[in-house]
Amino acid sequence: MSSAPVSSTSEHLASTASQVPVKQVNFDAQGNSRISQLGRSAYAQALEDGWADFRRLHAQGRKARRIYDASRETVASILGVRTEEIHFAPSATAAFHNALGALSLGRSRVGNTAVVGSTERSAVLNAARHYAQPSIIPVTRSGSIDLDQFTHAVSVGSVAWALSHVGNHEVGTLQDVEQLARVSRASSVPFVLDAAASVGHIALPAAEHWDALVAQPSDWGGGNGVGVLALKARTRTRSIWPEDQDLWFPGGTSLPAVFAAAVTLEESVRAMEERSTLQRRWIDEIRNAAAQIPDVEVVGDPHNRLPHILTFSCLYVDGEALTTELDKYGFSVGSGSACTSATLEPSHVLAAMGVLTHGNVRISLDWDVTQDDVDRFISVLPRAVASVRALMGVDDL
Amino acid sequence: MSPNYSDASVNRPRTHETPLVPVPSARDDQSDYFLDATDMRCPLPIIKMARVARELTPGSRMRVIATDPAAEFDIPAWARLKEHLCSEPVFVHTPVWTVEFTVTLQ
Repeated sequence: MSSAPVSSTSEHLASTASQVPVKQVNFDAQGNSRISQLGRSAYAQALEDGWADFRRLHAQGRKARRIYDASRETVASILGVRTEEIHFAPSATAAFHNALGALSLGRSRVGNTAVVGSTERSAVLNAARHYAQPSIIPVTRSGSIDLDQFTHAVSVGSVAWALSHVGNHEVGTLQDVEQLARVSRASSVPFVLDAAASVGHIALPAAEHWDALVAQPSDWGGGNGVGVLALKARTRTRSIWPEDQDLWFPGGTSLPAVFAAAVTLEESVRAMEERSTLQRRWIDEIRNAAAQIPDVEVVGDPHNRLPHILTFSCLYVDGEALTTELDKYGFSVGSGSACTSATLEPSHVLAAMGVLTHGNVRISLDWDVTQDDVDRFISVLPRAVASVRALMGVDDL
Repeated sequence: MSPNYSDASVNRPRTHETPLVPVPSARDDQSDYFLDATDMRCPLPIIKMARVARELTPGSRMRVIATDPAAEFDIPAWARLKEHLCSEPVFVHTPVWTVEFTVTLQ
C-alpha cells in the first residue's frame, strides 16, 4: 500500500513545528510587523465564527455580519470617520490603486494631474503614472516636501487629486500634512493621506483634514491580507472596475484578516504612547551609534520623524552584504540599495533626497523589540560594518 | 499609460527628454584624471573614485563616466560627504545609458 504523497506545505508545517524558537529580531517591521497574540486569537475566532457569507440572512451569515460590522465600527471610530466610510481591501496596495484610480476618473472633467511628493511609496507613484499625469514635488535633503512647489502645483487648475504620506515609510521624516491639506482644500483638490506607515505609531491629523486615507494593518501587527481605505462620503469618485456587491474591492476581503486588523488596531493605539516613547529613544540611540562609525551618512529628519524608523548608508559597502551580515547576528533589516532590490535600481526615496544609496540599512522596530535587542544591535553594528568593509578590501579608505 | 517602469525611473530622465551628448575622448578634456567606471556595479565606481582621489592633489579634476543606475545619485553624495565639488550630471547614450560627472577635489 502506498502512502499519500507528502506535500511541501505539510513538510514545512512539520519542520517548523519541531524547531526550537530562536529570536530573530525584526528591525524590518515597516509593512511587515509580527502579528500580535491578540491578532492571532481574533483571526482564529473569526475563522470559527465568521466563515459564512455575511450577506446571507441565516444564523451563520448574521454571525459573520456582526464580526464585519464590529470591525468596521472600530476602525472608523479610531480614524474619526463614519462607519460606512471604511472599506477593507485585500492589501494597502490594492487600497491605493482603487482609491487613486476612482478619484482620477471621478475628477476627469477637472483635470488629469496627480500631485505627489517624490518620496511617496511605489504603489502611489505607480498609480499616479497609470491613472493620471504625475506632478512630482521635490523634497529637501532630509525628506520634507517643498511646500511652495506643492502649493503651486495644486493651484494650477487641472488637478485630479493630491497625496502625501504622514511619515515616510523608508526614512521616517514627517510631512506638514495639515498645511498640505489646507493648500489642497484652498484649491478644491481632494487630498489623500498615506497613513500606511503611521497608523499605530503617531497621532494622525484630524479627519477634517483629508478626503481619503489608506492604512496598512500588517504594519501595526494585524497580519497580512488586508488594507484599509477610509473615503469621505462627499468625495467624487467613479469606479474603474466592474460592478460587484463589494463596491470598492470586488470579491471582498478575508473576514478573519479584517477582524484581526480591527482588534490589533485598537490594541496598538492603546499601547502607542508608551511604545512610541521607548522606540523614539531607541532610534536616537541607534542613530548616535551609526553616526559614530566612520563614513556613515544617517539620513532623514532627526527629530520630526516617525518614532520607529531609521535609515543610514555606509560608504564603500554593498547593501546586500551588510544586510546578510546583520542577519547572521539575528537582526532582520531592510535596505534601499540597488543590489538588494529586485529591479537593481536604488531606492527612489534615497535618490530623491540626494543621499547615498549604496550600503543602505533601513531599520523599522517591531512592537516586540526590547532594550536588550537595541543594546545588542548597537554593539554588533560597528563590527558588522567593519567586517564587510574588510571583506570588500575597502577598510583602508 | 506605460505600466513598465521601475522606482528610480521617477528621477531618471526619459530617453526623449535627455539631450544626446557625445562622450568626449579622454584626451580632449581639461580633467586631470579620467575614470571609466562603465559596467561597474555600485559601490565599485565610488570605491575606484576614492582610490583615485587619494593619489591626486587638491584642485585636481577627475572626470568619471558610469552606467550603474545608482551612480547618478551616489557620485554627488560621495563628493558632498568628502567635501569635493561635483558638477551637474551629463546624461549620454553610448548606446547604453551613461552618466558623467567632473569632481574637483578639495
